[in-house]
Amino acid sequence: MTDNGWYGWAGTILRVDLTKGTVEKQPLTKEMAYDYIGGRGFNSKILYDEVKPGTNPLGPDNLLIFGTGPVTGTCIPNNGRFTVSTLSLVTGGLGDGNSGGHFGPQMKYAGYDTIVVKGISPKPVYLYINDDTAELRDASHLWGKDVWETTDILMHDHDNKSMSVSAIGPAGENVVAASSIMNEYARAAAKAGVGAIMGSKKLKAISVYGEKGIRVYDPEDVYDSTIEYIDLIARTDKWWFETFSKYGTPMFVDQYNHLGALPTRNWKEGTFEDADKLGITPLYEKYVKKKRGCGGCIYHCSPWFRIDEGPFKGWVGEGVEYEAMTGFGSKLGCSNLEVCLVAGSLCDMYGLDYISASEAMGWAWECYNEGILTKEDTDGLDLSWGNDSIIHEVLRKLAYKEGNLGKLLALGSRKAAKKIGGKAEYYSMTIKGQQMGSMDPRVVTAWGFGYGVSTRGGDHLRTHLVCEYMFTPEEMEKYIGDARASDRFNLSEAKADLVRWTENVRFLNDSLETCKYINRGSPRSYVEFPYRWLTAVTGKKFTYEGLQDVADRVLTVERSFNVRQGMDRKDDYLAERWYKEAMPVGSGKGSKVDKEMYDKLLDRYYEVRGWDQNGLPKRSHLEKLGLKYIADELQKMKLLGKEA
Amino acid sequence: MSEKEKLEKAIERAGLQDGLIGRSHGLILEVLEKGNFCKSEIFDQVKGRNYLTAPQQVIRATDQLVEIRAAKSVGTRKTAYAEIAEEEEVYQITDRGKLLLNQLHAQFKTFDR
Repeated sequence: MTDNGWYGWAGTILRVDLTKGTVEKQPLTKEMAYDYIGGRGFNSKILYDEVKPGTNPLGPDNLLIFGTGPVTGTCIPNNGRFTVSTLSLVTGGLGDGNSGGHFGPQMKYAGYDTIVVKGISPKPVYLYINDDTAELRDASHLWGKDVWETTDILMHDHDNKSMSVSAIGPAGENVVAASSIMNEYARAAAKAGVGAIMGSKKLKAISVYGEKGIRVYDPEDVYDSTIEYIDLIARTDKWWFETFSKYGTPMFVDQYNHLGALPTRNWKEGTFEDADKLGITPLYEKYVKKKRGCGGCIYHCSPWFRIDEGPFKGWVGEGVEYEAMTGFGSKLGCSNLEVCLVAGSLCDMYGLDYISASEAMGWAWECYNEGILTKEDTDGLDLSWGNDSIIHEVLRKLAYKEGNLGKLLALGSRKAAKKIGGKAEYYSMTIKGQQMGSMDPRVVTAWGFGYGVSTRGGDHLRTHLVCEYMFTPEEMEKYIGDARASDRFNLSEAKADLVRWTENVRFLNDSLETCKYINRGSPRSYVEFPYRWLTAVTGKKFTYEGLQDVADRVLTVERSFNVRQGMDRKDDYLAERWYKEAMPVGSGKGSKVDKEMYDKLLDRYYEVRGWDQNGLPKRSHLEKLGLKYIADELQKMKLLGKEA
Repeated sequence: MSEKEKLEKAIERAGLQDGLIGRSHGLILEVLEKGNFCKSEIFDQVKGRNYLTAPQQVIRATDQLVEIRAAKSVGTRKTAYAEIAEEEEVYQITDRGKLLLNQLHAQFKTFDR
């Protein structure tokens, strides 16, 4: 353990220039640490300051930033996260993906808070990190290999099974929009085409191993607060704690189906007639052999499966979860669980994001079933709903950009839909061009509104708004100020305040770099622990209110980045289907999003965020957050919000 | 210590003071006054009232009632809600629950809003 004056933070940013082939260490500043905390906070600040308008996402000036948080690698619960940020290939705005596993802790143990990669290497390379040694090495022998092969080779070559490898597969190499960056075989930093950005830079992988450890300021309070937190969750969020520990995210198939929120046949419906074939009962009866967890995890939600008989006999995989069951199941009308399990593992190997890949496929399936795409477009494949025999072949085509269909899907559904035109655009279920997974906005309305205003485009994780259906109305009244926010069907103005609150508390997950599953039904878990953990770990006194200011600051930096890229209010709307088509079946039957009320919500949301009615940040708000330099820049660009 | 004081202490110990026990708990206790039910059955009887629109809200509120001993588990049975448990627990109102229900009736004209 090195005494460099830092507690919690490692104190060093690693700067990699692939064009020049250089790796340099830069000291972290106190201002950066205290004002932006870490993880997504650091990444978004660096991205705003260094990636200028007009930058080509696939060019040398785009950055790829790997960020850990101050609690990453400590004993704070579920601390194994890190964020990868970039100028999004998919939205043209800010993009990021967040992953678990042990890569983040290993970065910290090696002595780095953040790795900033720029430039383009003339040949494939990987970044080798072992404590103070950080250097670019030739990756010609790895190019063309999938994620699992790459990981195995690097571990073997370095004779170190404790090292963590973050790598791209063929999807990233082939600049596929749905590509992810995978670490430890099955953990994905996904969305924004982060894998494609890494591929465009010819950076195949980062291998990292460290033995330096992390100093914490008050080990006793770190320990005490951790025990208190676990006791709180086990006692006050009993159902969640017990059930999630037992099943992991596959439990959401049953849960969301009951809520009428399970995306089915490209979001036409929210209830799938064969959901019971994809849920926890068949999964755990037949396939799951054990479970694994990320760094510091108290749940171990990651199921490890093996298929013992039938056409997929011998397949093993880890981390297959809800998004695979719904993505390759209900979204495509497929009820074959084994096909979903194998599809999930194929995504891990190819370096594909389950959500983005299955969303592009759902769009193609609907276009095919509506007669918009023909067999000429699909290379002869029959994309009828429920035809599970072609799902793996389509994934392979997507990863390798093969044939008409592979090339089309590789664009992502928004760009593919624009290319086809007409009704195809209606079937592209994207926000700001980003595909999303999880739950149908027609029956969890704040969750949906959170999709709309998310700074990285359509995404459930910016808010991860489970409190909409898990807080009791009494808890909602106390913590959000309005019990109406508990009504998941009605889009009342209370939802704007709820979304702002959850965006802020979820930012704390992304900046401390803790898993979002540590905050679920217990409001106290969101409010009482982040500032206490930060204070105990870093020695800098933080308060709940002070952290709200940090969250407001980063959300506004992210918004300003997007505004500078040309986004405003027009980009904060949902896909048209959710306003026009009422849910046809299930517990949410008849529900759709009221567009007039959605507009009122945007007004209210911008007001509480300090932005004007076009969604542009105001000078008064920017200056209050210490962002005068952004106000000055936006003013020069005539993009500053109007004061009331 | 009176039963009323014991109830207050239990609520405080569970961190549920300051209005965190309210109409939702009253609705659940009203259902349990009619008979013993599991959480999904309780939800089916209260859904749409006091903004209760998801089973998970009723699961949490019922667990809170169990924590302050206003309700107790009296067995299990299999239901359709696989995500809640393989077999759901069945709950019964306690004497303390009846006391709490009376207090909530006195506090609120109606549990609906």
